[in-house]
Amino acid sequence: MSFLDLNFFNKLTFKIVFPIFLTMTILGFFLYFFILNTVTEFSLQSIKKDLNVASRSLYNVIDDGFSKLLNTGKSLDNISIRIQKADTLGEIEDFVRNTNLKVLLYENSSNKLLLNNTTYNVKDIMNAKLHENTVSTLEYEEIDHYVWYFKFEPWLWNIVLMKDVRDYSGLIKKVQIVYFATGIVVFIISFILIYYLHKTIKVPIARLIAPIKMKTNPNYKGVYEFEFLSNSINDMMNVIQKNENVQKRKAEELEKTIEELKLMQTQLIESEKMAALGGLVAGVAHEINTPVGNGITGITYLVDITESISKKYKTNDISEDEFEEYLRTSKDLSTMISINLQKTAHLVKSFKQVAVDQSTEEKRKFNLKDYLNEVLFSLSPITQKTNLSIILNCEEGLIINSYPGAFSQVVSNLIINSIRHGYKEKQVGNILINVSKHTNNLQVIYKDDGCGISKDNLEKIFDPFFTTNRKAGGTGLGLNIIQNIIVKNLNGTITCKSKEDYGVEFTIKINMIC
Amino acid sequence: MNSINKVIFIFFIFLSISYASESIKIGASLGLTGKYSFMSKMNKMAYELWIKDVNDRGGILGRKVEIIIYDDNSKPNKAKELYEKLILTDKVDFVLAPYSSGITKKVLEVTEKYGYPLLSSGAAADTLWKQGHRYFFGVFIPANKYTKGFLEMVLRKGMTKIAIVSADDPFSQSIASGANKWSKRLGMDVVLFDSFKKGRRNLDSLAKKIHLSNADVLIVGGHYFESVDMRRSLTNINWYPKAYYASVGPVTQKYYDNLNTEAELTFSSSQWEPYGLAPYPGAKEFSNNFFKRYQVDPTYHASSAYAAGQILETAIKKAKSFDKDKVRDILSSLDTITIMGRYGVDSLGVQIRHLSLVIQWQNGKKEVVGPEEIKTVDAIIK
Repeated sequence: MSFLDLNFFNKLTFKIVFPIFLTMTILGFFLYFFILNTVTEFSLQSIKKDLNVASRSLYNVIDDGFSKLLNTGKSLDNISIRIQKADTLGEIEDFVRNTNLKVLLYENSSNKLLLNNTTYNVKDIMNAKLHENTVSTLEYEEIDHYVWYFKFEPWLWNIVLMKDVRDYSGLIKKVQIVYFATGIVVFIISFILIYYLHKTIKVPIARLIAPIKMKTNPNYKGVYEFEFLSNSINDMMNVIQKNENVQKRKAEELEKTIEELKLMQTQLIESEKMAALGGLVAGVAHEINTPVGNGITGITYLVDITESISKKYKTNDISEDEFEEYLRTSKDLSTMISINLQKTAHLVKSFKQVAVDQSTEEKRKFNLKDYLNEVLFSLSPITQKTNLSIILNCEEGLIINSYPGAFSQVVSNLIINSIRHGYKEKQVGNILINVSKHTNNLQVIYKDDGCGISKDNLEKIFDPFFTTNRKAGGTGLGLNIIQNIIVKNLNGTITCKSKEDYGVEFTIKINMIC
Repeated sequence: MNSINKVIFIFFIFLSISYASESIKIGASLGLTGKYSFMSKMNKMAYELWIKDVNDRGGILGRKVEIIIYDDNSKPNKAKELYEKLILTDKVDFVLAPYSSGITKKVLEVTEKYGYPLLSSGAAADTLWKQGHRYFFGVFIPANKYTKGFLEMVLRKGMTKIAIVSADDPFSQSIASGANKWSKRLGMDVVLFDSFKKGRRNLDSLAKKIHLSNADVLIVGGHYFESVDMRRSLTNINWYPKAYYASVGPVTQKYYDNLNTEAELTFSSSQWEPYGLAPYPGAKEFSNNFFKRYQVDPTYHASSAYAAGQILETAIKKAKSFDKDKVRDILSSLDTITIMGRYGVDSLGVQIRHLSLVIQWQNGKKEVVGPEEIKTVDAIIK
């Protein structure tokens, strides 16, 4: 891995050094501007002071020249005055050259320029309206200058001294150079620091990370802390390796258990189905038993009275009244037997259809309302023992192409569930089954007004083996089977709304295109 | 004295002998041939005389002084090369100046680069002090002040119309611009201000132009040849102003020898005059010694060269060191008197304490006619 990597900003070294570097830079900038301001202010004050001192010195130079004339008695000699003025101008010229000042000197009376090392003329200066014997500011050649304006009355001289405010630029430059040099040093130190950290931290860490990425044990030797870390990681990896093996073994065991459980679940579901069918058979058998018993009783009685009448007929010991009684009784018995046999036949027919559908699961066209009525009828051995009223609302003549056995199982299970879990024995209640079809969607709403399901249990009702009635033999597979049938066999959905003491409402939606 | 002390004593004796025996090397190049040969030879003789006098006094800080002088043929580039040779090959301790402003300007590139102080004994062009040199100091007043004394004198004589002409070299132009400036300050009229190419020998047409300007006073900025050539041109056009001034040339005996009576009444500025005409300590002795040694009278070119040596000697003694930067610092603030007069420079190294003389050729003699206080005779106006 090269030192200057593309992911440099994400590297540990950068993350350690950058905040330090950033803080130093910000501090450096603040300090720089603070010092610069201080130096600038100090320099400006110095320039003003210098200008004041210079003006006093210059006044003395001019005054010396004037005094010389007075002291030598030549103050009225025109030639001497001209020479002395010229000398004084020369001295002023030398003075401003040595003090790096600009000067403009003109005579009051004629406005004649006597000395000028600026590009201004007298008019410019007059327009500037400078204050006498104080510092003013004037822009000269686009640079601010401090200006001191004074007069030498005996010779009617007006003297304007100018000093560039940038005269401190050398000092500022020095500050800048020092700062620049410091900046470079800091920069170099930062790089050395980065390189040092790279060598002492980044490289050992890389040597720890590389084998870990390769899923092998690190074996770093060098810096104590990293060596310790390497050994610890080594130990940890060994422990993890061991745990992984154990977990792998346990996972395999778990997988096997799940497979077994799945098999058991399937078997249980089949058992549950068979149990439900068995219950149905028992109910049907019970139901058939009565009419068949009645029929047997009736036919036995009919055989008895027929034999008795036959004997009496053979012995001509039969009266007209007795024969009429026999005919009346045999007619009643025949009617009773016939009714009971028809009832039996109807029961068998219904059971046969439902039982066959539940076991064969073949897709076919059928009238949904008729079929559901058959189902309800087949459940009548169970439902008749309750005080529940079951109402089916379904469009007459609604033919669907689906799995009737699935519908039978769903409705049967829902009704059995309601009876078992929703109502107390002999409790009066209503079960409402609304079936409607909208274009290709079939919607079945199943409602009861039983005890309902608690909020906690509502989330789990479709889970396999969830039951609140295990002691009474509940398997907890009823609703799970219903959900499986609807989702897997009918390609639909089932949802449940319920509130404790306010019954349940199942909404089943089935797409009929499939 | 025990044996260890003896050893130490002998060691120090040996050390001081060997130290004293190592002489100070001073170098210079001069235009010993070429257009500045006269003035340069004056410089050379003065440098050598100063060396002799210094060594006679026991040297500087106990060390003898020796000098290496090369001929630069009055050519600036050659002078520059020679100063590099002196500094890098000959490894001189100090240098003395060449002659002329143009050559000095070139040589400054070397002396400033290597930090060698240079006392300007042969250059006075003002432009030399406008380039911020750190190691450069004037021995006599800058060219712009040469004519000041002369102008004051002619003003006192009632003349106010001035014609100023000059050659186009830096020194001559400094003379001219200075004359122009001082004329105006003194309230005089500059009726002509013109220049001509350096080396042009026939100045008749220019002389006519000056004549036509109605000038009372003619000032010529130049060296030896310009002063002689202009004087001849004035004769050629048969006109002479009330006062004729030329820089450099008329201070030399050669000027008079060459022009003879034509030289009469010519004015010039001299930074120094021999035999006590310039009343400074040692000036008379210097004149005598110079004549005795070389059988020729010294001009101010000689005295300024000798004075440069004196100033350097004083600075080294004050610094108590041969360190060039220490000597430079002393030179920048030194106030001393030499045979040339007072030495003192401003912050730019410009000489400000030296006094210039106004001289005039009268009856075959150079007379000091200004300043008023030290003049030997009155100036004669034609």
